[in-house]
Amino acid sequence: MSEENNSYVSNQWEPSSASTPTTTSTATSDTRRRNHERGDGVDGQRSTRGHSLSRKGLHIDSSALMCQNGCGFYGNREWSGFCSLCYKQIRHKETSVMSPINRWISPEMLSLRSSSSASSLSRSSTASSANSSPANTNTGSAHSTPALFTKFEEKKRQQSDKKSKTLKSIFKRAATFRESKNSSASNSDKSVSTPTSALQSLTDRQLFSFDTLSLGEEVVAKFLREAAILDIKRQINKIVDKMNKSANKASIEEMSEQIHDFYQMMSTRFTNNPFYREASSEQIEQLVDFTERYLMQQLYQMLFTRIQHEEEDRDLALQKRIRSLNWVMAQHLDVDINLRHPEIKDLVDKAITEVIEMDSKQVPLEKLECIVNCSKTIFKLLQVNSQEPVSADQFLPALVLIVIKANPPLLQSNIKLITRFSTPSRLMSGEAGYYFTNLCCATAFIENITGDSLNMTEQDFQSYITGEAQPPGAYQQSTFLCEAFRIMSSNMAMLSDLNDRQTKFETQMSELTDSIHTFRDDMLKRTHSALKPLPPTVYSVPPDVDIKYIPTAFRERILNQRTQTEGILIDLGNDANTAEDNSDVAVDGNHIDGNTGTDAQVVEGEDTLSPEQHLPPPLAPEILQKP
Amino acid sequence: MSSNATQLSQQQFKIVLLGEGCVGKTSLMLRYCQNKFTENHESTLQASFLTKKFIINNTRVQLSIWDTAGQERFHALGPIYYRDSNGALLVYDITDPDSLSKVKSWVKELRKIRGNNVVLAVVGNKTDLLSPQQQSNGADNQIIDEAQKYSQSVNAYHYCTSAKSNRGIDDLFLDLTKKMLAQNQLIQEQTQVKSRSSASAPNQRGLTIAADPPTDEEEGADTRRNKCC
Repeated sequence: MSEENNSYVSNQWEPSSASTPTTTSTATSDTRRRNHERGDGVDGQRSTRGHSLSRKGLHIDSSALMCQNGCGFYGNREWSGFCSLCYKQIRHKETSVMSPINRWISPEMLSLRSSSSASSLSRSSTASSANSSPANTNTGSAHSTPALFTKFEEKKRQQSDKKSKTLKSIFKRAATFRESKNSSASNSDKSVSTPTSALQSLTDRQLFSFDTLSLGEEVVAKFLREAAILDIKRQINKIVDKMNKSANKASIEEMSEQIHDFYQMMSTRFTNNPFYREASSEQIEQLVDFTERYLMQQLYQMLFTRIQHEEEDRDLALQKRIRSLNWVMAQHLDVDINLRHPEIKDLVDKAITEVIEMDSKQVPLEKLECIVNCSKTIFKLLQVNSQEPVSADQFLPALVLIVIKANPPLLQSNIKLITRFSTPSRLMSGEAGYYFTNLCCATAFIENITGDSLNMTEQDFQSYITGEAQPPGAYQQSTFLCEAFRIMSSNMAMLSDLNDRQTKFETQMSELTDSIHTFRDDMLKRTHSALKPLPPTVYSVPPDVDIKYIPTAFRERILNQRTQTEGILIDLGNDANTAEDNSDVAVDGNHIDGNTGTDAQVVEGEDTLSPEQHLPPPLAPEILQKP
Repeated sequence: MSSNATQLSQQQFKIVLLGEGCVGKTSLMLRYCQNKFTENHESTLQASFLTKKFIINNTRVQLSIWDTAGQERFHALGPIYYRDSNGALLVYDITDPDSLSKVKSWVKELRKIRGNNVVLAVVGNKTDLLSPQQQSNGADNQIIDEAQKYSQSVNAYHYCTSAKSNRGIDDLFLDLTKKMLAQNQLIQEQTQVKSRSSASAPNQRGLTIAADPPTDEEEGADTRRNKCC
């Protein structure tokens, strides 16, 4: 089996190998192997065969003869690498089912897209998966190249790469390239070609970019059976024919109407037609996307040339206008974008790239994607400085600024293409529609910009726009400066900023030192005064306080005091009541309250305290009062 | 899920938020969309385009709420925004009479361009700034009074909300959705009548100008519907 799988690519890519398979040079086999590997890298994941390592010694050229279908018979170049039997089958399928345009979007291609997006090299994968699918698209039996085998191939290729990068090999590769191109192109013209060659011609003409078809593989596997696919193809084919016929007569508006009718028709078809019964709503959405992508790829050339022609004046006018506005800065639009901030600068550049990229896309859907990306980047850059969600009040001016800085090519034409030929519902609601509307708004704003709308006098505005004068600070921000200058000026600004901060820091430092000094002096003074011995403090204890509530330390002291200085303290006794009764007991003479009794007084000096008495247990005030 | 989808009809509405800067458009929208769907929202990165899905009267409704830039300099861009909109929230600050006069100019434009196809809701925001008595009395405020009278005169609905204290916002959007549903039905019926009457042009596209909706009847219908939600 693996021989066959190896072989089909080589047949496709090396027309001479069928006749002289054994004499193929190492260089061509190298090319072939690479092709093979890229193509099968993805398909091979599904394989279950693990014995391929044992095939290390296999010479790839010998398998070049086998039928691509893997039926075991020998293939032939004339039959696109199939054996006669398989080729007949495939041709029958094609001619009965596909018209020349339909052929471009065979189911093979759908599966191919997903694989090619992974391998990112469409040419070689074109060959491989297109060849693998005729056998059976649904069962996936054709996807059988082992994963292990591709790894081994990678190794081998690397080895042989070293050896065979000669001038000869380069020439040879180029020659085969062109040859296959020619053959495929002529084949497709006669409409008897295999899907491979049809695809080949497509990629050559760059009509089809595979990465852009975002119809997931699972969709293909699950429900997009041939019937459904064929139906879409047939419908699209019809409208393409119709459009092409009427292309010279109809105006863009009429064509847009036709396309919109077609979208309408397709969406009702997706909901009503039995082909699509199994499709979920998401799948139908994908189908709508797919239809748009495919249809617009077919018609892009014709439509966009027309639109470009019609809009040429407006495109040029806008471009000129934007160019004359290159001095506009963030502060003119009252939006907070500091281009000196490295992160913001990067994001601004990214947004600019994304909005410019829009012109390179063909399908309105993809153009819209670019706009969405650009808008998201703008939101990100507006968020760098603020934590709050960004509102439209900030977003629109930022978008205006980005558009002015970017000056996207053919903006008016692109907007017109999107408005006329996108799925209407997408533009009416939906995120993309919102951002697109904002872009339209920004464009309209730029077209009608006046001094008033930029917070300046009309006179200033005119002088700026004619280039007579520059607004203050324009030099640092202008995009026309080369990167080095811009970095330099931003660095200069940063340095002066740092300088300012440094001086500020220094003055603050000296202030702090001063305040530290004064504080220290002050503190020293205070400590000196605090260290002076305190005069004995006199505490008075009301006589009616129960002795129990007085902490023992004080209790002792009271007694001490009594023994030391006569007549100072009351004889409290054991009972508070008795103490109250004995109100005649004398005090030291300072405090005599005749009515309520005498206060007990404690003379307390630092020197009188023993160390453990230094910090008496806290006295709750209520304890000291009469219960 | 697919069986569910077939049972429920699906409606998409586009609502534009118009109003002078600083009247609280963005906070209104954020409050409505994120109060309940904090987890569902992919990002709080932006508050200019938000969607909200819910089911009402057996209809799956998706609201796309479009915030607009309120600065004076962008005023002229309004028509680009409210193209194809089903509803418009005209927000004013109940403490700022100027913002109400702005609302009036927007209403005129909207009616000129979208005719009666758009449901207008005049919203007085920042009721939290009213004194407590005024809040309890409802429309004691002069500006609110004026706005209410004005709304009636232009066939718009009037609401009072506070994004700060989350008052009246859910009701506002729910009510608006119901009215848009009713409006849509009205338009559909009319187009059907039209297409039936003019058999020569069955594929009539473009705008059909609906007559003034019977306001009283609609209001009655709304009070009935209010219960189910």
